[in-house]
Amino acid sequence: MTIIKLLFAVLVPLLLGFSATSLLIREKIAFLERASLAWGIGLGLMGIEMYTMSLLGISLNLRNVLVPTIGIIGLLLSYSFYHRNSLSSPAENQRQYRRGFLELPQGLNNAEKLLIILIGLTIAYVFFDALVKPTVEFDAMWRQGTIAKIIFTTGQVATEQAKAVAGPHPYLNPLAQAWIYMSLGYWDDALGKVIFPLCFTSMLFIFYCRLRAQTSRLKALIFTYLLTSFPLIILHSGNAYSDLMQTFYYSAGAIYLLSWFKENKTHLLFSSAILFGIGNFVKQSGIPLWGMSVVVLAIFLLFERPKESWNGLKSLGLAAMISAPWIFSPNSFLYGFISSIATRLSPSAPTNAPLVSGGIAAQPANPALADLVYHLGRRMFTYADWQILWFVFIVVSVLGAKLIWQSYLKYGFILIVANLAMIIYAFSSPGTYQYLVDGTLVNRLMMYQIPFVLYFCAIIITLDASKDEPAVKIKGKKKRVR
Amino acid sequence: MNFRRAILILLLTIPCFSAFAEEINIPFQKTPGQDYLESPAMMIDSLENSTLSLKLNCSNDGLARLYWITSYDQRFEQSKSIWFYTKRGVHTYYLNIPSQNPYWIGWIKRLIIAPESPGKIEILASTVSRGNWLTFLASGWQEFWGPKGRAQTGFSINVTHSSPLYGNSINVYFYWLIGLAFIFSFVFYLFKARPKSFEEYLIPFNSAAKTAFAAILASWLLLALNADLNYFSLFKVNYQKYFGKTIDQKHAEAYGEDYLTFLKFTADKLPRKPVSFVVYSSINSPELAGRLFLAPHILASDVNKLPDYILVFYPTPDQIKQLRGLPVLAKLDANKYIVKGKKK
Repeated sequence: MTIIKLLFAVLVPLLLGFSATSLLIREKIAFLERASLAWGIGLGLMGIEMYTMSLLGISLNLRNVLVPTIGIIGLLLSYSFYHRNSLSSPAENQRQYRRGFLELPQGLNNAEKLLIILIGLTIAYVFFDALVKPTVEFDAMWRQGTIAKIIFTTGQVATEQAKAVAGPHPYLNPLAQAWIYMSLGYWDDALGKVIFPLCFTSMLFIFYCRLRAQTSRLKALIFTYLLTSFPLIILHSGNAYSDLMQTFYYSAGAIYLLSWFKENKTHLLFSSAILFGIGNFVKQSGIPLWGMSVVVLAIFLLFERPKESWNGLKSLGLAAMISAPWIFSPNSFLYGFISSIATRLSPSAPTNAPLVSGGIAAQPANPALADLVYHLGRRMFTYADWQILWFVFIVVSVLGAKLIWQSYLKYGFILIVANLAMIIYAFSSPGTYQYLVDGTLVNRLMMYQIPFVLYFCAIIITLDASKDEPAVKIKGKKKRVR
Repeated sequence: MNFRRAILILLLTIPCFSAFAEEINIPFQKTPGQDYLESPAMMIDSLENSTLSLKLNCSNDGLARLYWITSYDQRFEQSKSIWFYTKRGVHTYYLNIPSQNPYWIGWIKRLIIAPESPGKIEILASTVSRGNWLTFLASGWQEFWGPKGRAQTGFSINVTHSSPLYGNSINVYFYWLIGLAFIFSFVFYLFKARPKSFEEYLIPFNSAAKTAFAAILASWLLLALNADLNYFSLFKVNYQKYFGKTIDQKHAEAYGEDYLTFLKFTADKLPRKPVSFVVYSSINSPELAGRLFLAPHILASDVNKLPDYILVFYPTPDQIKQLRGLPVLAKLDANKYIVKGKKK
């Protein structure tokens, strides 16, 4: 019975996601990619729906959440059906769809079989790790786990304690866990973590499918296997921190954005926008990460595709609309940021800061840039968290410089470097510098863009290596990647 | 042929002779009332004695840590320590200490071996010496397969160490390998192509770049397999600890059975509507599991309020003093009870 309830808990957001993607994506894409996207979007939309309901004073319980969700699913599906969406696409698309869905089991060589087994074992391990043990990690117990249980037991999000524990952190993670408890009918913090391995698996599938669209199956599988080699990502896929969710939403969003730069299919841009929008509801860092991608998108539109500006604006509006219930709430990072600027600009604003007297020790000076780069470099190159990814990124950036700067890839490069610069900026104050030196925060911040960095490197490496061979074969014809 | 082999073996064993030059026995003693084993006070030159050889008899597979103090710094602390796995049964462990830790300096005054997992450790023999290339290799091998980068700790949530080799991250060796692969292959293709113009130099360069990418891929796949091995080890640990258990039994594993029983007792006795509480206890971070398990009851410090109830679980003598005069709501036993109160 527990398994059926758990399946139900997973199926509802998945169905919501499927109905949203059927509206969004009017052409056939691989089933794995659609399902992964559906999980991410469905989970996010459900969390936002629950949060909005709580803002309206509606108590959160299984019935109150399920009824409007089914209504939304029905509406989206009816709209899709009425507008003859992807379900009624031309026959060529149907063939591509079947090819995408049935692609993996056909004609695999031994290396591919081995890689699929290794990837499959890692996925199985991640599910095992998440489901076998209760919540035992500090932050997961202290913040997300406690808030999830408060939501489940009281039906409210913003209780006095939940607000105090959450601080400026958004609520998607605890809301998603609370949804699992509601579906189960009881609190089981081990089963509540099922959402994290599902996010991890979705991330792998999206990574593979987007890469597969540009290179051979073997190469796509090799790089997908390398994505499973990052211990910090694997560890976070089995615990209830929000970092893995943030990694999923940000990296998948960035991969879709880069894919749109290349392919110019509108659904890629809107998928990216939705994922970034939901990412704003996962962690505080979602907003600056989204902001960075908006800047890169704006530069791209200005220099490369000005005719697509309207779509760019629509994507911005879509992301803003999705995250609006959170970003404009008084607890959000953006609200706090704007308030702090307003307070500073106001000449009569009182300050809460104590006056510095002779008896108080002076704040340490701002750390030097060289120190910041040194400590960040150590974390990037000599720990197991990212294996040799950053070294490869540098090699690829140097050897593939010409390729990068002559193609859409430069925007991916700018996004990665801008995020690194943002991390350096985040640790440049004396208050946060300690978290860089002691390593408590920096690697988790870096984790958000790791799958995207690997994707970026994989595209360049596979492009370069496939100069003399076809990347995709369709019916005996050779299709070049470039 | 045999003569050649004999000469080769002789040449290889020559560096080992130094190991027989001077070996200092260290008679470790178990400290009464403590888990660890301690050496007597001594004065050992760290330069002349880099390798500690330990013959241990362990009752279980587990972890242990070697600590030392020097003439410069007389505190036993983690920065002056080496972490290593111990295997069940009698095994010899070689620790080339300066290659793993830079603080093996000056005069070494005392050593401690502290077990970090359940079970008994008996030291059958222990010596320090200059060591030889065989003990150096054995030490590196043990270090690479050791707990750093493999065992999960509370801090693993933030950072995962890479497997070390002679004190350096294994990544560093791979960077060198990739760099050397590029340089050697560039030189090789340079001689092969014998370029005459600048453009022709690109041919060996591109070939060398391909070799470097092949080396990168090979290195990364090895690191990925190493990571898979670590996942498998963690799988075994969690399988033994949690698999096939009910959620109650899992919580008992995570929080401790005694504490879980108390939390369940508390959940039963506290009023239905959310109340605020604090935990008075001598155990480590009792409020962490308490806050999660008892939610929606409120940990008083979260909302900066005085508590409605004080949960008492093996209190310290000081805490017992603070509780005097407050009425008891419910008692599980002499060390576990709930007190009504407004004390912080």
